[in-house]
Amino acid sequence: MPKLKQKGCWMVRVTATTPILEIRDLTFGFGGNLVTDHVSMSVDRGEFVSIIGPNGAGKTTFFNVVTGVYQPSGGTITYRGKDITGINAAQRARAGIARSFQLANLFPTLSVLEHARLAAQAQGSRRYGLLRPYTAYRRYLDRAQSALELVGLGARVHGPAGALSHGDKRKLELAMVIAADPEILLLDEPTSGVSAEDVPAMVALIRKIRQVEGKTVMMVEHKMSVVLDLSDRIAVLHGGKLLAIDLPEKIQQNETVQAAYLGQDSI
Amino acid sequence: MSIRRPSLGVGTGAAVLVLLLLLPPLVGNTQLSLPTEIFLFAVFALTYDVLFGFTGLISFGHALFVGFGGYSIAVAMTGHGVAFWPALFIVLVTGLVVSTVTGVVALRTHGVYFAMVTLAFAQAAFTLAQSNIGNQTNGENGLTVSGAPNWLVGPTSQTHFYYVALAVLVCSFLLLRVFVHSPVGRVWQAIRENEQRSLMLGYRPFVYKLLAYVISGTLATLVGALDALFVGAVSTNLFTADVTIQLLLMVIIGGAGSLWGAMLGAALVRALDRYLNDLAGAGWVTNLPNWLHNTIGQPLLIFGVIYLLLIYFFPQGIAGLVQRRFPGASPVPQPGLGEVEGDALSARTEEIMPVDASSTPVIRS
Ligand SMILES: Nc1ncnc2c1ncn2[C@@H]1O[C@H](COP(=O)(O)OP(=O)(O)O)[C@@H](O)[C@H]1O
Ligand SMILES: [Mg+2]
Repeated sequence: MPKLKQKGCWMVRVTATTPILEIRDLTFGFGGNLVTDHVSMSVDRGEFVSIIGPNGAGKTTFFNVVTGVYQPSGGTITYRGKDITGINAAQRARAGIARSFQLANLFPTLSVLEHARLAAQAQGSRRYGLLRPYTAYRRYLDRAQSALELVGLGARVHGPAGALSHGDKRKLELAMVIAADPEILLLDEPTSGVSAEDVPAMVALIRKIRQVEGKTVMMVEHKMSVVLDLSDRIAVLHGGKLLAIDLPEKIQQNETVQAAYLGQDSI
Repeated sequence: MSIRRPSLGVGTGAAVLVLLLLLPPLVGNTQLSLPTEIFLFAVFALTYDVLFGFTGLISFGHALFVGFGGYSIAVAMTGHGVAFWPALFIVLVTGLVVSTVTGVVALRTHGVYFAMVTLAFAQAAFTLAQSNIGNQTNGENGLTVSGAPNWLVGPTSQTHFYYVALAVLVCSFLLLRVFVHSPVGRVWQAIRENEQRSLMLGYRPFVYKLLAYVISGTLATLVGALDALFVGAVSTNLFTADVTIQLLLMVIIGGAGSLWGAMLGAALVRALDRYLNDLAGAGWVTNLPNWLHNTIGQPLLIFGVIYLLLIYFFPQGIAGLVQRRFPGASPVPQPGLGEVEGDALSARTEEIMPVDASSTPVIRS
């Protein structure tokens, strides 16, 4: 286990023996073409792991396999000590694995507030309630509202999500993840499409989620400054394979990584 | 946005209800068959709207429930002399069983496959009824429905039935209103907009869709029985896709995803249907020159033109029009027309079951 340099480390030490997420030999492909190729990694509670790699490296697909969108052809995913490889995406979400999407993946005519409210409601025991109005469950509304305020959408909660700008859709994605109050957040390029002046606030928010709320975060991100700023460790994917997973400074010095990624791609 | 709407909507609704309650003495006993028919079809349209407008499911087999309701009560009461209330209980159980069984199978599929599987179920039921299975359905001739209690079809039956149908409509509306505003109802709308995303949030779309399907199907079955009592007979026509298409039209014209829109759509379609049929048979039309007679005298032709105009000018139905006029009213969504924004996620986690002949239990005797 690498030593952690940031403030959340006391939480990590407490539970250092049981990683929150342990991935072994995870394998998945589209028609024989392996896009996730025997990937193994272990993420500690409270840790911040970034995943980098060129376009098409299989980062989004890796998230899709971990969250249950795709069933892996091999390997196991162990979450909080339990093998979750066989359970469906909805069960994984309710177990505390939340993700945001690289391309906003929303309910176009539903209101902005409703998006975050649905994310909160999914975690509650009243998600099968049929007889009382949804407004009777204030806690979901309150949690949705505060999540939207955190990402800076507090003033436009009533409009349809389809009418939001691209950047605001990305913020809404993040708000939905926050409203779900998960154990572990999988963020797929959270700052892409967000206007330059909004990026610092978003980075600060992601840092806060991790440090104040003690959440575990895995983040796919292209902006190297953001990655270096936030990460405890960085994982490098290339052609579906995990090239390296290490401390940021080690990754920057790693020659294989430089050859495969840092050298060829403008970051 | 939700502060003015209830008072406006409830006010209008209450006024219409009072008007409808006062209608029988005003128009006289003989004029009540059209409004009664409208009330019953409005409930069918409401149940279809729960599927199509709220959950985004396009069923081509909703007639299955209309027909099953009618045939259940006819076989129970006429065929086996079961009394009214026990017969209605049988209809309820039939509705629950038929909707659950067909729902579990059909909801394994998506989109156009779902439409085809539901259609296949309705066709199978049509074939069963046609072939007089077990000597219960009397084949093509259908059955008469007798044995209804006096308070329903007594000497002043028209008035009685009018009020019963109105009460059933009001109760159905209120019940479905509660459902669509519940946590489950909100998930239905999320599934309509983006099923995959609702799954990723932690909902199981299959369970929610099955709930919508069973609620919708069971209510439609119950009202199918009531409709059979009103008409006094059932025939295999009840199972045809014509019935389903008519419900689809009502919901689209009224505004999918709006309960009151569906009721208005039902009223419009049934009234227009009756009016155009009367027109076709009217003396002055029959005496017109041939080419005019052949156009004005064709109810379906005129209806088609009116329908096209309505869809062209009000693509979101009457409810959508009202929404644009009074922006405070509840928004009307467009099922199936949402912008598609996908990731590598377009592949579904739930497998799409191909429709093949073996998946449709067509039994021939
Ligand atoms: N649904 C899909 N069907 C077939 N191939 C896909 C699909 N999604 C992604 N791929 C392929 O898998 C590879 C990895 O894609 P992706 O995981 O989106 O990469 P990244 O997120 O790292 O840019 C790419 O070559 C892409 O073309
Ligand atoms: Mg990607």
